[in-house]
Amino acid sequence: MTPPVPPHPSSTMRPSTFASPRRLRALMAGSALFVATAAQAAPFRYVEDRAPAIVDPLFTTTMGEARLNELLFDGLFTDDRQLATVPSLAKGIQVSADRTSADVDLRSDVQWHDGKPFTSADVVFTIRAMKEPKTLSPEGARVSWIDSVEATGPHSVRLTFTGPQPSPADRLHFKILPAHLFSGTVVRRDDPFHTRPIGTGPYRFERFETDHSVKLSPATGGSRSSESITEVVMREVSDKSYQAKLILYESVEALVRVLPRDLAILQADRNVELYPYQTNSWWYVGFNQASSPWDEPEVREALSLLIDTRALLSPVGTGHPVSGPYVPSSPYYNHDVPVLTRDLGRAAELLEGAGYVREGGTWSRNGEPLTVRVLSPRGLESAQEVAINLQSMLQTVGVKVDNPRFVDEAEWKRRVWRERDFELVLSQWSFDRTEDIRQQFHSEGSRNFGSYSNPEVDRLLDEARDTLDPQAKKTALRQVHRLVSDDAPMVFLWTLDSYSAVRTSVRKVAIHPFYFFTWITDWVAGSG
Amino acid sequence: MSGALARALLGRTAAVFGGMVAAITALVVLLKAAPGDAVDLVTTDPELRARLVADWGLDAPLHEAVLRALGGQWGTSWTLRPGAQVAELVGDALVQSLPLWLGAWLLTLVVGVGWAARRRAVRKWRLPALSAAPVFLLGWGLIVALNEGAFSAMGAGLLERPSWFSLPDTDSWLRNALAVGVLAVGSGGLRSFIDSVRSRLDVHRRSPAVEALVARGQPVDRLLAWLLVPDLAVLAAERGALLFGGLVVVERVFAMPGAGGLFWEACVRRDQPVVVASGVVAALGVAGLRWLADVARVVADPRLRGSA
Repeated sequence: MTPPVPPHPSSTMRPSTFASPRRLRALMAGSALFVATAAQAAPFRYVEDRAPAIVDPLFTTTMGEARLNELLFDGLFTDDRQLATVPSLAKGIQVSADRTSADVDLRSDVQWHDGKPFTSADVVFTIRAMKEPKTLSPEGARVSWIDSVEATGPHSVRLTFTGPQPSPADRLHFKILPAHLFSGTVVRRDDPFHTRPIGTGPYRFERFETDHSVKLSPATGGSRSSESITEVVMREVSDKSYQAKLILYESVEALVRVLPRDLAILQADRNVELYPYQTNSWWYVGFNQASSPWDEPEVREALSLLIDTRALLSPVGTGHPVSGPYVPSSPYYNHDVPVLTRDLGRAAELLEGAGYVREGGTWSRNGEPLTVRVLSPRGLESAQEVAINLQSMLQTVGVKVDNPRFVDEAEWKRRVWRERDFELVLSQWSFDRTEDIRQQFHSEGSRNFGSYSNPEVDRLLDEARDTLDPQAKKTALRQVHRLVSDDAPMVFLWTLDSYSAVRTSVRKVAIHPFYFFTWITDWVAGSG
Repeated sequence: MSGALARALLGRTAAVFGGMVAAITALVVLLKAAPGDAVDLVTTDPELRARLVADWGLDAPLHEAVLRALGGQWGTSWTLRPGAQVAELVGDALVQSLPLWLGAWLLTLVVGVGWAARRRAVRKWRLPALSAAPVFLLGWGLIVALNEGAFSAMGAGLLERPSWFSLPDTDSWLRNALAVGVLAVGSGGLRSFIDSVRSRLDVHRRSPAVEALVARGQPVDRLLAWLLVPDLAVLAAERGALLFGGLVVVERVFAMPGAGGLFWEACVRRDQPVVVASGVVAALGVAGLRWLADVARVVADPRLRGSA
């Protein structure tokens, strides 16, 4: 593998300093290798922080896995460039008059990557497998609204819903799996399928490399094909700060997300193009309303008024402060609700109303200082800067702030999601195109780890879920925005401007804000 | 084999095995005490969680987990490579790590002994300065310096894109050589090895046998070398064991596939079977090396047989 003795680092960098004849010979031999460059066509290489542990849409838990799925698999429907739903594996859909069922016609010209034809059995299998409790799929909620599915022909299926659905095609974007590669609808996480996934997407899986990268090659017979990009390589680079260097060094062709601090250097490079895209993500400081004093709305509101959102945002990038649980470009964002601005006077009134007094510069109640303990996921980029600035900001106005804690994913899930062992969390919510905040703010929501509860919000969220009228849904959710903003279950911070970086050797790039590769078949590689 | 020698060897073997069991028990205890578990990474649904906990045996008592680990019943990976046989994963990773570990070990022995045997300490400051840097810092510094230097040279038209560029992403001879060097030298490893060898040499130089030869004007090098063998066996084994730990950092810094990187990733992903299997294999390796060192010492030095 290696010569036993490495070159002395100093001799590599400064050969003249230690120039013995033997060293010079070694240097010349090394130099001959230095100039040996690969003249092969470069693949399209993109970077993920972490390689997917599993390539199976039934068990997708990370965005990296979702992006890889987008290259390998297809859904019945997908997004066009305007993010409107258009058919993919489906040809069309006829929804019943009462909107409780639908017939979906499927394409008959699609083959799986192993050459087998795509049929209605695959759709039936996928939905049943996702619904099967023993499959233990975290994606089961995506089809919970489908009561049953049956094949009505080799290329048609009938879906029956649990209730009226205003726009079922919008919810049929989940990826379809090949039934012939599974023995039943009970699928285990360790099913060998995830090591040799077969899809209908524009790329087929080639192999996992020993360095955790994943290689894909263009597929034939799938629902769509890519003629220009002849190889896709997903590279794992866990050091985010190094990713920008890699694209500058021409070691990769694309970064899914550019760190704010790297924007300037990439913008200055004429070989790299930055692509802004709108995400449905927003940052927040969430309160555990099951713990004192954060169960008191006035204390939560006071803390919100002590925070200068814009001052916190500026060191970490550009973006837009938000006043509620949507991004400003969302149809559900209520623009009548103003973004909170820092108001120390009003905050003091609220704290005094809650029984706090300012003693020795610190807000206290019954001798106990108002103390903030912030927990944040370690993987959230820029969270450290935000948390430390938040600490400094609150300490100057009389709030005691313990040092923020940054925990890895497993500890985060345990403390926040499972055991609710936290006081405040600094984190980010990301949503797909449906912007469904029900799980976060409904009192029975699975992601409502702050224990927020407002019966009126519950009612409105149920109404938004059940209504067939898009306008009524919009109205209900805008009301939710206002109510949630008033209740302050969290301090709504901002949505960040997001940028991808792609080398200019790849042209006609259009990036899906959530799945990234949805339109990769239109991309063109090469300088032509 | 004499009874004393047999007893000594048996005692050393028992001590090594005991140490290994203790290490594995400590590893399992740490895993159980670690915040969050593999199921947390897979689902937040309580019902799914309960099923996976039962499925994976996460609720098994400590002694069962230790016995399973020691018995080699590692099963399949949970979160890192779900479904993959752990024994195969760890075996493959070990094979990938072996050249790095062996290269660093040999480099330590050759350079260390050669340096320590010098009568005159030449430019003493160089090695301590280099060796004092932590493995991580040394590796990172080299990578940045080489990348930036080459990138600037390419930009100025002085250099075509080298085959190794950019470090550490390209599997190249330079990356591998740097990794070997950094593993051998960093964190004071080589320096402490040299000091230990030199210290033992000094002791032997003051021994009556050597002093007698010196007094008669006869060469002492061969005798010194022979006297050094048992010490060297112990020092080499100890250094080899330490290099196991260094693999975790070096493979991360140089983005090299191997057992160290696998262990790290498995810890992050709370993949208990992979962590435990890696721990067992590493403990076996360390224990085996120490056992060999002990045996070499006991065989070479009859005085040690009574103290077993």
